Amino acid sequence: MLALVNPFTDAFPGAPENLANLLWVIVALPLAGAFLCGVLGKFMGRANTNFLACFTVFASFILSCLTLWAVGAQSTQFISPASGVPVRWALWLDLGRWFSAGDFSAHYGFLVDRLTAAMLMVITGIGFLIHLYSTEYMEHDDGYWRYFAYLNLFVAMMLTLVMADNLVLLFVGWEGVGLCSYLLIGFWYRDTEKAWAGRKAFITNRIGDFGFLIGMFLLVLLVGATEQMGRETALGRSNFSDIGRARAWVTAVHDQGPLNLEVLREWALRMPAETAKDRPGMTLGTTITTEGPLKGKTFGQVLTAALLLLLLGAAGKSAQIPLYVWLPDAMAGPTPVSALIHAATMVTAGVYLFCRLSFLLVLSPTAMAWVAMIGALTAIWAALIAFAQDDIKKVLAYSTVSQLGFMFMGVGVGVFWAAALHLVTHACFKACLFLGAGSVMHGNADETDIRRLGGLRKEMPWTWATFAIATLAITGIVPLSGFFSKDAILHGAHTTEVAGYPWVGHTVYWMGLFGALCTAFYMTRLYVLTFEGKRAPDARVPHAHESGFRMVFVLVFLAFLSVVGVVWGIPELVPGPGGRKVALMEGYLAPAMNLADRLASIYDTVTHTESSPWLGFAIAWAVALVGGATAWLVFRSWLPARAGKPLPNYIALFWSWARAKFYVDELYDLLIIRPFTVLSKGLYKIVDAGLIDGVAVGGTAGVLRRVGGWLRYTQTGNAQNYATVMAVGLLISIGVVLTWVLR
Amino acid sequence: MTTFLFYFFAILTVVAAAGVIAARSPMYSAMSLVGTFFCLAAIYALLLAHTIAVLQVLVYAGAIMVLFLFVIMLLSLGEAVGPAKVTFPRVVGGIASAVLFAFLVVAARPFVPVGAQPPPSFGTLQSIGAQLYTQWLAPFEAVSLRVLVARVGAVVVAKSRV
Amino acid sequence: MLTLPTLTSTDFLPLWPALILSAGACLVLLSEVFLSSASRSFQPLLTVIATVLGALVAAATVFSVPTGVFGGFVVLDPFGSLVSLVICIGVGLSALLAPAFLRGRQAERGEFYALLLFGGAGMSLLVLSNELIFLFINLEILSIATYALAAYLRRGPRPAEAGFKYFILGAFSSAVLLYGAALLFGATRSTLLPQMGAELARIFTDPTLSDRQPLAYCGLALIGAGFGFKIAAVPFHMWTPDVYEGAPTPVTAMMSAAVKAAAFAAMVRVFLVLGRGIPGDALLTGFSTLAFLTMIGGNLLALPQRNVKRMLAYSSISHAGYLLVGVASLFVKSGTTKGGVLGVTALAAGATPDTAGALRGILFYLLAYTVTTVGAFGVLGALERRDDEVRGFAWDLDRLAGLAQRKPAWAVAMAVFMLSLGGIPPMAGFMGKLLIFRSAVDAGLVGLVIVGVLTSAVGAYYYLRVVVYMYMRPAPEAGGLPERNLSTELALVLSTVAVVVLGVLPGITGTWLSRGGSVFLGR
Repeated sequence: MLALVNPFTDAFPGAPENLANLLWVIVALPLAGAFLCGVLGKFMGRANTNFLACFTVFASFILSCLTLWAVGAQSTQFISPASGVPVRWALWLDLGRWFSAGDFSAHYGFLVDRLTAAMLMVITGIGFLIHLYSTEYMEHDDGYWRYFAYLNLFVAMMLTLVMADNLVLLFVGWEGVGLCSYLLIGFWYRDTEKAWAGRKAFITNRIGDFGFLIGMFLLVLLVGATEQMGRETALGRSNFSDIGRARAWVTAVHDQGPLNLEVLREWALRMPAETAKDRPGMTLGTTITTEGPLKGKTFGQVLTAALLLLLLGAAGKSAQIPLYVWLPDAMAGPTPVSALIHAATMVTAGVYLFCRLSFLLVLSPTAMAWVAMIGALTAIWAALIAFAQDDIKKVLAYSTVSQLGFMFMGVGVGVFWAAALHLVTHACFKACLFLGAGSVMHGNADETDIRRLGGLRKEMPWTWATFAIATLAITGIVPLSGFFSKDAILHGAHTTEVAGYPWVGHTVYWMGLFGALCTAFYMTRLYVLTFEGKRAPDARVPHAHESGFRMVFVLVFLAFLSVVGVVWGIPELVPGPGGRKVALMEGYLAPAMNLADRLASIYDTVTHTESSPWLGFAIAWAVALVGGATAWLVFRSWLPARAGKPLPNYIALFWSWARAKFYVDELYDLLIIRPFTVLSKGLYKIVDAGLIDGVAVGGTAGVLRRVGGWLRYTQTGNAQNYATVMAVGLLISIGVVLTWVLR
Repeated sequence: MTTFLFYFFAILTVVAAAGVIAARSPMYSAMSLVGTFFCLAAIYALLLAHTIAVLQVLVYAGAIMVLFLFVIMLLSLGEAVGPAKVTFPRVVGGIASAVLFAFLVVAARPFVPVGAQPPPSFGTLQSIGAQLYTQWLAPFEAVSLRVLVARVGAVVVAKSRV
Repeated sequence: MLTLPTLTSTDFLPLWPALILSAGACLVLLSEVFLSSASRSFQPLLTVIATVLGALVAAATVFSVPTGVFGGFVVLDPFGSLVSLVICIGVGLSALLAPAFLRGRQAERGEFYALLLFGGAGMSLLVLSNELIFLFINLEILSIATYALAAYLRRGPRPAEAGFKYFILGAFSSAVLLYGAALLFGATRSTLLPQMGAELARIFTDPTLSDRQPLAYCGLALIGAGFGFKIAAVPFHMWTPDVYEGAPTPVTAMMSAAVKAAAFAAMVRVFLVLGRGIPGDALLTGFSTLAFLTMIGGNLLALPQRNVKRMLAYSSISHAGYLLVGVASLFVKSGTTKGGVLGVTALAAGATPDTAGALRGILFYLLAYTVTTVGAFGVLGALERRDDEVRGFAWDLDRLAGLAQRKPAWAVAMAVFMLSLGGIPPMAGFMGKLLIFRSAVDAGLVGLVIVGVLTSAVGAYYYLRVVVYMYMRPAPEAGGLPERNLSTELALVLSTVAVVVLGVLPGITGTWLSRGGSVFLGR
């Protein structure tokens, strides 16, 4: 316990693994900040609240930097509780049992490997910048203390999510960010529409969380069945031939709980590994024989089902088809919140989840194909909708949905490092774009319609410059960060074959390429309409003003990050596993992803063909240039030249459909919400209001109240009457007793 | 003879006790109460509990009754307040009590006085004192607490302020 | 030759809480004599200190081995210690409510606290009594203290009437109890409960003694009726609403919490010890009938009440009914099955009566009900105003209207108490009901439990109505805010926290209450 409190005892900072004792502080700081801001914020005053909120996140950021350094150090390792062998380049802190229910238990523990470390940098780093930006953005709002409490809580929850060493704790963070997003999207809750947007986000997320929960239950059952069969069947016992390791695993299943990540890793490793040596044993194709709901299914089927359910959960959080509808409405909250949701927290949770569970995902090609296809479809779908949106934040929101689709594509074809890299770079430039949009709104009296902006290039030079850089980054222009991260995904898709689904890689590649084209188009459109040309005649204010120092500083810093992020993605830069030359990010994440790669090669689920990426990069670059140039031409010269003339029919039709978001909200309304409303209204009228309220409750209550009313007349207030009642009661009891005895 | 005396005083006790609640004048009630106490003392004496019998007469019939009478006279409630009203609860209560009494008589029927011979020290002050301070110590101390509480309670209820 | 009994420190061990409370009372009384200033604020403090000390001592004896002391007159057992603890908590919390109440009526006197403490001492002795005469004297100690307290405020007709009514009917019930004790003495020739239990067993097995059976039954029935008065079971409940309404609110709190707990515990002890020798299901039928009547009567009578204080009085009757379900399940003998609402249903096949479990449930319920009801009366007492009392609408529901806007924290506390009384999770009342009903189902009393659940549902109506008034009705225009008072708020905070904590984490009382399942039964 002392080590927890005082980590600076002996070798620190000499020994990086000592940092494990400090992991809890990373979460605790913003949590404490949230508590203090929420409880005392009103009394502390604005400046103190601002300072406290920023400070806690910044301190977390410093600790995250130290953690990053620690997981990069050669000596860092911990002993895996599930196998007894050391795990390198990772830190683990177990704070003890959180709860246990029957055989199930969950610990409160933090695990930081290189994937988590990268996420920590994004969450605390960009989170801090957004906090800093918010201090200026929210300077006129009276609910500042509430705002910063939520914001800090948001960061704390996201940190819990990425640092959790088991899925149960991860789910706490998962639900926590859902809650915080609800609170922040509906921050201006007095505005009905904004409150509704918050509710929409919450409910859509609940659908996904439902999937997540069931997926978790299936995993619990799966691990339990494995353990039981390992003990009870001859087939299973051969899986557990390495007695020491098997014992460690069984102990960990009971002690740490079946959803501990190390337990799941060991499970994934144990399942197929034995068959590879051509010995009989449980494989994914083995039928489960233990009693329970899983009986008769194979391990592989259950795993696929669990992963697909987790995909539903991830689709909810990361705004993929079919649950993406909440994200565009989520911009109802304050703009920095949108930036936080879109860049640093929340939406990346789904991508993170699959990177974290990559070792499970590669065991199920079906699930991978689903993930990839969902991602590709979402990428195009959202991009098409973004074509016709006129609200600056909505365009950015759909672009987030689209970019998340790219990340899912990467996850689905097994290039997890590329997905993670795109997550990081996207966080930088999307934060920059959103905060730039916020700056635009700040300087233009909260105008969000890009048709009524324009010509801001001169008036807001800093915002313009940073926005331009971020736009180039997202469109994928060399040498900005978005280029290599996106094209690493595309290249991965092109060269990858998912077992049983040979068409997926190529389909995804072409769809991705098309998505990139669309991205370049709509982002250039957004940029052109906002910053180029002349100021719109119906603008709210004649002249925009540039934002203050704190906002500009953040923008510049993020733009800078969008540029230098490219270092991580340049291919063939450093030597990687297997003697290949790999990108910096791939090499960095290799320790975290090696199990997935190993399993993929053992099981042959994912095959990467080695080929030079440079040709693909050239194509992608050309595509981006074409998209951008087309948009520039259309909106800079073609449209202004045709001013007053109607558009060609096919364009107008597409435009109106895209503007209406392809009527998906209406479709959901018609197919799901409307029938449910009718059904529940009917049920309410007939069953609840009629039968239960009217007959059962009303009738019973009426009768009871009347009886009570009559009984009240016995209470006359006359002591003699009371004594009479007592005497009669006594008489009856004695009479009954005596007649009974003397009978 | 003892049996006859017992029934005589017992019936008299019950009659006198009924008189306490039946009498309309407080004075008659109080006098009936004195009668009850005396009859009870006689029954105690029949049970060879002479000390108790004497204390009964001294304390209850003597001290406490005098106090009662003083209070009644001070409040000048001398006059009867009209004939008793026969109300439904009273009738029911009366009948219930009567039947209850009958039941209890039936229940106690197997018990007849047997004329046991207690030791000669029975009922003497010495033996009562010995009993009180040995076997019955706990109830005895509890009684002292009870008396203290009753005094404080009486003061609280009787005081004029508040 | 007179040989004084040798008394060891063990003999005094169970008496310590009562001794401490009595000493505290004497101190308060003496302080009134030597009072130099008009300030009496130290008196409640002294009272609370005495109750806290008493509670600590009672808690310290929970883990002692059950045994009889003082020649078998007094018992030292975990059950008694735990009820003493509950009593000290109830008296202490009520004492915390008193200062603000008395100050508002210029009625601060040391005697009030002295009587509270004396009453507490009587209650503590009552639950330890193992002999009928001792038990009766202790019952009288607590009764006299309560009579005086009920009539403490004599301005206005209600308190005097309440005190008088309580006194008359209480004397009647005491007489009934004493009569029963005399009959039982006649049948068993002893007043020590364990000896009586053994003798009763002989009466019911030895055919030559069978003519004493009617007497024994009559005695038991009369004693039961006497206790029925104290715990306000239907049909001996009639005094409850009038007295509860008329008594000063802190006293009402004490009566409904501590007095009830003490009477229940004494009743359980008496019948548990005596009942061992009684064959068949006579006691079961008696208690389940009482429970049935009390649950239904209390809830139905509470239903039309707009006067919240009266409503709480009826609600205390209904809670006595739920407790009686637990008591009834103590007397289920294994192997007897009989259908019907009152009997043992064979539905729960292999039902095994679990006496320790039922006692645990009763103890938890007493604790939960004590903290809840004191809190509820505390809120009510803080809201009432002197000038309304005469007109009789001091406790009307309208008094609570809009409390959520005027005093949000109080409204939350009151809502917590109401939910707990209504048995709605996650409050302590819910856990109490759950424990009681579970032990009753284990014993096979399915019919009673169904009645209990149904009447609880009825109860939810009038409890939730209070919440509705507090949160959904506009505050009256002229509704003045009650004065803030530290000790009242302390009591409310303590009881609110206790209600929630007991409801959410009932396990914290686990080991203690399992100990409480062991009752000293004597030889």
